[in-house]
Amino acid sequence: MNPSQFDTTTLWQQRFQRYIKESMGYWQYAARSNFLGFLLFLVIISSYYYANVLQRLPTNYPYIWIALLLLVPPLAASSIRTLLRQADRMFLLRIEHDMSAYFRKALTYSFTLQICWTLIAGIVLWPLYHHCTGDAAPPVWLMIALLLLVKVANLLGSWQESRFVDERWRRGSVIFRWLGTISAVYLQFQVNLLWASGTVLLLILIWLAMSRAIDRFLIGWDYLIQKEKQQQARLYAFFNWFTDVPQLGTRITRRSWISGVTTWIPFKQDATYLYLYTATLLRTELFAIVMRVTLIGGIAILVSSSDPVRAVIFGVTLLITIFQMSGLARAHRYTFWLEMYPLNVNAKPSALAFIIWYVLLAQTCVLAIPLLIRSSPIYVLVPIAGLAFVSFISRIVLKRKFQAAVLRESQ
Amino acid sequence: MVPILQIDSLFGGYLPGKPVLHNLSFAIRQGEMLGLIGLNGAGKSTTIKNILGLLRPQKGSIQVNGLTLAEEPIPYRAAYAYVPESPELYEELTIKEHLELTAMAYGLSKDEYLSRSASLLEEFQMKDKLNSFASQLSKGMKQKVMIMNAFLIEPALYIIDEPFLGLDPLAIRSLLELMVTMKRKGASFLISSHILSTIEKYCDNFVVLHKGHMVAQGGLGELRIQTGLQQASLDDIFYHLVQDAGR
Repeated sequence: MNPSQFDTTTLWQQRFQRYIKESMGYWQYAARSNFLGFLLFLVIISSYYYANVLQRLPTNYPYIWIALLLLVPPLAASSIRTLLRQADRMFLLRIEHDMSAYFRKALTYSFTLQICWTLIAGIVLWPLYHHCTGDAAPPVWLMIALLLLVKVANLLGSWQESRFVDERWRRGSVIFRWLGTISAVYLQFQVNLLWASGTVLLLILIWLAMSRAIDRFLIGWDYLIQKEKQQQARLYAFFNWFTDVPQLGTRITRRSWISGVTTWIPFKQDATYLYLYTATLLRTELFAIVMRVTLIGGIAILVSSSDPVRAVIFGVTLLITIFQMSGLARAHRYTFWLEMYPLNVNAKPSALAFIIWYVLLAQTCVLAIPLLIRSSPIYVLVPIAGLAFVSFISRIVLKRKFQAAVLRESQ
Repeated sequence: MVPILQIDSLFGGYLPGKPVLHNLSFAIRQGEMLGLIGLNGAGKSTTIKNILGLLRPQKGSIQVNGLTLAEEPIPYRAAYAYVPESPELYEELTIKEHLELTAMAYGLSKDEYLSRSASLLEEFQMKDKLNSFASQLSKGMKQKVMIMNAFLIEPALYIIDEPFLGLDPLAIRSLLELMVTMKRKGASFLISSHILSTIEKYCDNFVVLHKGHMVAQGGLGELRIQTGLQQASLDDIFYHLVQDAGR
């Protein structure tokens, strides 16, 4: 194929269709999990309270802070979804001169999406703004036009940043855009539209003048691909609330404050599995999940109003943690190193069961504190029963389950 | 004396009834370095996978130190270290933790671990990478981690699959020096590589595989006699053998 005839519009369309199809699949999971219902519920409740608060709010309320908080992020954050892939740096590099149609499509998509977010923020802000300014408010369409201008400037600025060779210039430009957006929104709501639009135009000119001398790539492949990966990972992380997203991979966090506990493990051959799975737990997302569950459980126990409810929350928190922790056995399923080591494979179930038991023990102790603060002394029986329960589940039930899995794998 | 690795009439592969390896037999004695050579797809990796136990022999037997994997899995596995062709590291562990885990898994004492890992880290210039994760390392550095893990154990047999790719010249030199040192101490090596000029200098014996069959075996001298190519390099001999077998 003649490279110059390669149709990058079609390429964008293909990728975009695949992207939408994949996202739709995950949105279905989200819908099935009643997330959308919950969202609707949240919208109704909060608009009720919003209307209530507005009635009592004095008209001289300094609403500018809320305006800044609502409008600046959707206006200034202008990452571009390019749907690029790692291999593009190799295969599309030779036609990078002819890629403008592709990136124009990408910019249009990002613009549409981000202007929707901005408008939603504007709609949320509008009643408050109207309440505070009354009839003194300038025409809506002029305000929207200025917001559009700021958004377009930010997006085009973000595109140019992606081409900068020097990372420091890029960072400088990002800071410039954010500060510029803050001043634009501030002037628009606090002074007047004329000042705001004048400043925006002036800032655009300053940016153009300053960026003229900056070295640029034709296309900043590495940066764009890295950004694209980050954005997709964020989207996957969101979908991961509702279903298992295989593309997400394992996210590793160092957690130096706790990962040092592996040094307490005796330096002995028997302790190899214990060492590996302890480090795995501490570095993966599972640890964060257990921490969150414990925190939420603890707070729920502290604020709930009756003793039996607290006991139930205690039990449910332990159950959720048991369920989550049993996933630790799935780590390193496909690591062939574990088959290489001169180790007795039966040591693995014991090590896993021990780690799970230990985590549950710690959680039981932590949750006992708010429970005993709030409940009558007889409720000391709850943590004791919990201890017996988690010991039984981890040391007997789960251990047997893991042993059966080891047996299956070795056949 | 029992050879450290003994392979007898091995048939092996991925699908039952469709062996990739046909009637492979060779042995590695103590202190011997054997080069396994062949084109892509000749069966080198399949041979190694059979030795490691990632594939089960369809026919024939494999013994390490006179033991089979099925009968004595733990001493069998303790006898060798493996360096894979493409590095495989735990995402969750730092480089230091990789070394610690290996030392624990192979039953090293803490003192042995500390002294050996210190000299390996020095040799491969990886001291400042101790607390890095695998994702932060280049391919060559990952390969160094694999090599350090293998040499940390100081096993009787080293199984090394294409060790030189991705390594910088200093690391290749260090690796070769280490191999020679360990060989003098009595360790044996099975090395699969395409860098024939290098392994020609270091290996005592060679096994030439072609389409799953062993087409030649022996020292460089024996291969020269077998092919009738006096003074030929391993490269020429290999070319001759593969051309012949192809016809």
